[in-house]
Amino acid sequence: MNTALRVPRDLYGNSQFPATAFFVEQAFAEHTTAVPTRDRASVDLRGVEDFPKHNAYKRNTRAIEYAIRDVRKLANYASGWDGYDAAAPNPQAISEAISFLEKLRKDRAFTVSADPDGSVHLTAEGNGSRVVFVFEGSGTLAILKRVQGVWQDEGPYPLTTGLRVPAEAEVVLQALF
Amino acid sequence: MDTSSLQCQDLAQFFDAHPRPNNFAELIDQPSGQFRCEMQRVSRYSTGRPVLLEEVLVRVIISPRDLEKPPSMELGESCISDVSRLGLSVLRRDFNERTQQEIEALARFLVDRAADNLPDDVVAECYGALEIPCSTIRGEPGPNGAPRAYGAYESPEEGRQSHADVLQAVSLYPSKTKAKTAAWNFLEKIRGRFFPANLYPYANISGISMRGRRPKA
Repeated sequence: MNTALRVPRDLYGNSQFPATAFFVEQAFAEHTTAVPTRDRASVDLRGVEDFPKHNAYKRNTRAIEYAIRDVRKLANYASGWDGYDAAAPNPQAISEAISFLEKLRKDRAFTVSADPDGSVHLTAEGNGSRVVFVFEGSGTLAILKRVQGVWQDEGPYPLTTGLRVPAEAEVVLQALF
Repeated sequence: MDTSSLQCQDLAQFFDAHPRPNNFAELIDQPSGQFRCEMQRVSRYSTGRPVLLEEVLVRVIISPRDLEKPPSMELGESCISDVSRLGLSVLRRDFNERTQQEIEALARFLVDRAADNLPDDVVAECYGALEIPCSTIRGEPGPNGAPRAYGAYESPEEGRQSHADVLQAVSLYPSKTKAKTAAWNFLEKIRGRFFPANLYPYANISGISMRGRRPKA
């Protein structure tokens, strides 16, 4: 409740400072878009699904948040993190993986890992399949899928700056659950 | 760079380089898929004993583990990624009577080195050993009818006489991702020869772990 707008009222609900209440209402009227009452009643909240930032609040678990946290941790790996000569995770690949996770429209559990070549892997499993989303920091997403013990290259897809992940990624994920 | 005209011994400039160039596998794979120097000296530390078909090669696997998480139960695909980049560094299991000690010393060395490069909320630990028969390496076909996709080179290092490298003929593949996919499929064939550290019968590599020492950025 916004206490700044609370107006003292008498027992009958009338404002004790009618002039103040009038000015508050006027201020609101000037700074908000007028929506006719009949239209306001027909607002369809299902459309919120199209906006990932809003959708984040509708998730049932914190799996995506945990995955984002794990991806961020990779920034602290230096080259040689596997004892051999692994490249440090590519900062651009980290950024792409985080952006991908933020845009996902449904909650998913991912295993996050770094590859010695500097790319970032997000792995998801289900329905007997295993899918690895590979971010190399080159602006493309490679999807590798293992079905019945055989890995298939599902092809590279461009990562755009829009609100959505590549449609193919959603399709592949959908098939896992 | 075209290395196909170089003498095999001249490839030592790449095999012995530290660090190796990022396109090392590609440099050695010339002409593509022929593995022309596989049975030749390619390191200045060479013992003159090329890797034979009946040998078993051992890849010691070090894995970073988040302190807040339970240990992973499955061997990750990235353990074989080096095969298409810098070369999969391995030891020849039955090279001589000192190989067992070399494997144990290598595991400790790698964990220590990994700890230098990991933050303090991550533990570097020896995850296990993957044994790869040389016959499987040399018997794996390449794409589009190419007879072979992998080679095994004798490449001893200072203090590690049994060292060898497994390399993919990366130029046979149309893209880096296709080469990676092929390497992961190769891993599926040898996955059954992975031993967790506490179950590895040949060398004592169990319980080798170290907390990361790298200050966070």
